[in-house]
Amino acid sequence: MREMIPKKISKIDFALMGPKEVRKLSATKVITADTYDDDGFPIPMGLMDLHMGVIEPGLRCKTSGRKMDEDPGHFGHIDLAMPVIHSGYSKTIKDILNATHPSSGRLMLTQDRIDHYTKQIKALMDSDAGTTVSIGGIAKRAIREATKSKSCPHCGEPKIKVTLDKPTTFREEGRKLTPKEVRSRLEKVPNSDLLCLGFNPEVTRPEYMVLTVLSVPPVPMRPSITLESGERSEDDLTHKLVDVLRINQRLRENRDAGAPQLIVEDLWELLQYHITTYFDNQTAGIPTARHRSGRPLKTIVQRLKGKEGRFRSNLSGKRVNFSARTVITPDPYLSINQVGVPELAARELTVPVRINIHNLAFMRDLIKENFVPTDPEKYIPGINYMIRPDGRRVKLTDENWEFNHDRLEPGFIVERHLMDGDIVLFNRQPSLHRMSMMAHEVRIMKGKTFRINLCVCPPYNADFDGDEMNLHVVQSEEARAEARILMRVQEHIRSPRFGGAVIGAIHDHITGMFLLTHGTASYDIDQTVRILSRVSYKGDLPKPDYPKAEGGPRWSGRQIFSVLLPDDMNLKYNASVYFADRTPEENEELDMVVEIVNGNMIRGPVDGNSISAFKGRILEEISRLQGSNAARDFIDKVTRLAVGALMETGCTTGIDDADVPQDALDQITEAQISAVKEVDKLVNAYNKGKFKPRPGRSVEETLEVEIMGVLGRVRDKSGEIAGWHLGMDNFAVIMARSGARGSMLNLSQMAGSIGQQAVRGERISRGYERRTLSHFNKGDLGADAKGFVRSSYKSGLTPTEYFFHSMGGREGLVDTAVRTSRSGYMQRRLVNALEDLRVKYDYTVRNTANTVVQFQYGEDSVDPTKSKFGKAIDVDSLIDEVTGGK
Amino acid sequence: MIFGKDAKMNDNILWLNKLVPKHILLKESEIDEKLNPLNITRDQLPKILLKDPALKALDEEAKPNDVVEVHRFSESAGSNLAYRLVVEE
Repeated sequence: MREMIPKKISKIDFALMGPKEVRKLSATKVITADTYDDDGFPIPMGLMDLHMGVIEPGLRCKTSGRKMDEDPGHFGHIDLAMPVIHSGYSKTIKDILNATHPSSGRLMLTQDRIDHYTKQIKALMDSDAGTTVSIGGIAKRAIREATKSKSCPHCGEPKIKVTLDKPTTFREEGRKLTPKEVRSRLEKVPNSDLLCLGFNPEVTRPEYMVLTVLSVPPVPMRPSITLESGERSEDDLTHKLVDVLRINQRLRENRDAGAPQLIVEDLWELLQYHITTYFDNQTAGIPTARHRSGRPLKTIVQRLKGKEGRFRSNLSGKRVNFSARTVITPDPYLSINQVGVPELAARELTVPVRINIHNLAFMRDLIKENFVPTDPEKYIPGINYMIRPDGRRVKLTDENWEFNHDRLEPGFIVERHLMDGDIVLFNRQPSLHRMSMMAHEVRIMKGKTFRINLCVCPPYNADFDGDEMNLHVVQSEEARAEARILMRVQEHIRSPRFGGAVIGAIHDHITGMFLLTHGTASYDIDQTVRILSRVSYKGDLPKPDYPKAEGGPRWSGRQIFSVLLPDDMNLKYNASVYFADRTPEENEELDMVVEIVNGNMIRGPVDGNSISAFKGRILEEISRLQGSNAARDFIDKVTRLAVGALMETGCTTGIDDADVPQDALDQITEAQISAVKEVDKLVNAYNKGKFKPRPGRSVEETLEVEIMGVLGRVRDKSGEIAGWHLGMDNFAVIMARSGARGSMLNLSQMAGSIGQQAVRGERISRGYERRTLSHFNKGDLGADAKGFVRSSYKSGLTPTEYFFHSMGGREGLVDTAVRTSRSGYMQRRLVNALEDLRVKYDYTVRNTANTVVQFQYGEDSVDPTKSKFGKAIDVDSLIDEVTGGK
Repeated sequence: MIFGKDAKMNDNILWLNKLVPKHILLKESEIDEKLNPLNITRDQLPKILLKDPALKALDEEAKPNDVVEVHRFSESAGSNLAYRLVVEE
């Protein structure tokens, strides 16, 4: 390939190839169906003729003189004894036969109309710009119009309709048309009418759709393979071509010998069959050609089409080296920027390193250390291959390592195993957004799984129930730099989607930080030092908040947390645990408001509203104002601090967290009974016809709305009752209120009552005739008959309740299944439409044709990643800063 | 047919819809003046069809190769200027 001269392509024409061109392209004519002679040498003018390329080492191509693997091969040709329809064009042939006159070949349109269409097509051909109307579309209209005419406008003869028996038989009033007749009719169509039919007479003619010469693909496109037994096995295409050649030969002999018409016709049809299946072995209406073993042959169309075809499998679906895949497991002691890589994988994945005087000694040490290790327990990266300056690859083995160790010198390239600090790409499918593939720094670890920090689970949408992820080792210095600067996890803490953090503390980190900092939680000197040592805090301990406590001075959790805060931070906001139904004063009293003064947390707990993704104010402030390094550091340290705090306090939840006292349960039952009564009252009023509809609604709709309202309220009420008894001494409540996981609704459904079930946003109303289940009376509109679940998850559901609950649950499942596929395809189309747009240096958004799509990026030139939830400037905090918060 | 005091450009009812941005047909002399500072040539502009209702509602009659200035409301920046090249098809 090296000798090829790059040329600029100015124009490509796609057209049918005629017999002349096929012959011109051909390196040899193929006449014998045999492939190799007894010595295993290709037979001249056979299917493996050396003119068509070589597939055996040592031989040379007779056309270009090149050796195997250098020669892409050359086409040959088979002269067909009789013409044969190209099955791929049979529909076009039918259209043209029906649109033209059989004997004169004229298009059956008046000259005016022909000129009209020809002019349109010509104009389209001359214009460079792409348009929405295609030449094919205009031709289609012309053909349709010509087909409609009852008689020929040129000679007045009535028209006879030609029908197509799929795939390749044409009939005229029941009489079969031979391919020869079809061809002669197509030959008659004058050039002047061709443009109208969608043919450009300068390059192609309709009779090319009936084959007289068959092009034979180059040998390298259909290589034969030698089995272990020494037997040759030919490619499916070669098999098919053998069939074509055999029948072609017999047809020619019979025809020349003047055999009976019937025999010639049978052979002709057989030839047609073989050529049709040679193109497409899944043509409707004819049996598939099979191998001797019964396996269907894979012919040209099958090579290209479908998921296993050339396009989807080989062109769109490229596979890569230097990648690894395994199960992921969590490790909170890794930085979000890191990924734990098992030694086993690290010894397979390599980075090419060019030797210079600075790394020579280091690389020599690596080689030596790998073959004579000083500490077998320790992971030392090794070297699999070295590439000499002359391009030869040498594998390092027990035998040759010493020799290669000594001759290693600048200019060599070695393929070094992965080691700590290498940058790799990490990815989890489905890759729906750019955060699905981020760059991590390698940490070599024992074990067999990839380890990641839990904070990067949300962007990958990963969990640890068996998820696997892929890792790719970037190979060039440039790629490494790009990955480090653009793709590292810390650069993706803030999302371009809405201008906030998407990576932040989750689950246990939030619970842990809450437990550390809530209320009057305090720690003695041992605990304080233990917790702070987790974040490798250096410096003096702060002055204890409780110096006179029993058993020595104690530090508050807030003091410990403040160690992570920048000194100039001033914030005041409501915590996640804030009671929305109480006054601000009450909340301040209860320590539900966070206040940070000069980097010291003076009150309030650290919870979801401080450190979580999306909502965390402190995280937002640090990531926006201090940059990605500081944000990464903060998240890493919060993770460690939270784990430290949890080790001191502990946190557990169980079924008894949903316990509420009996009198609370009684209250809930009471509330439910009165609500059901209320529903009955409404239903009664409706049955008596006394119910008044609300404006814009029917009586039934109004009734449903009222009932839903009553039942919705009682669910809230029972949640409230249960909530009074579920205090902050309950870990389930702590998790829900602090924003770690779960909600108070989840808890009240466990402890109190599950509430109304719905399908399609309405009370459950499907099932039997006028009732949902046979347990109820027909026409019962009461609460229980229409899916109200009084029980709680903990107490268990009655059979009817369980059924209703399952109905509601099933709808949810179906919805998500439908939604993901729909929205996935919608997003894909959107991405495909937008993927080539670029923001240029002048802030215009342009496409690949360099035309302007947006005169100013986003109309305000603001990078949403660096904005505060879409706004370029955070006016509120600016005013606070200037006025001092007054 | 004038609706409200804002209906200045034309008494065409089209402009009264708040979702229809204001279109101004640029004079030949203005075009370079507006496009040169942006470093954008005429063929790089987004297109607008001659048969676009907004062009038909203008006082002046637009012809192919003219440029219109579009004043749009912008969610992010308040207001936004765009230029579009008139094309026949």
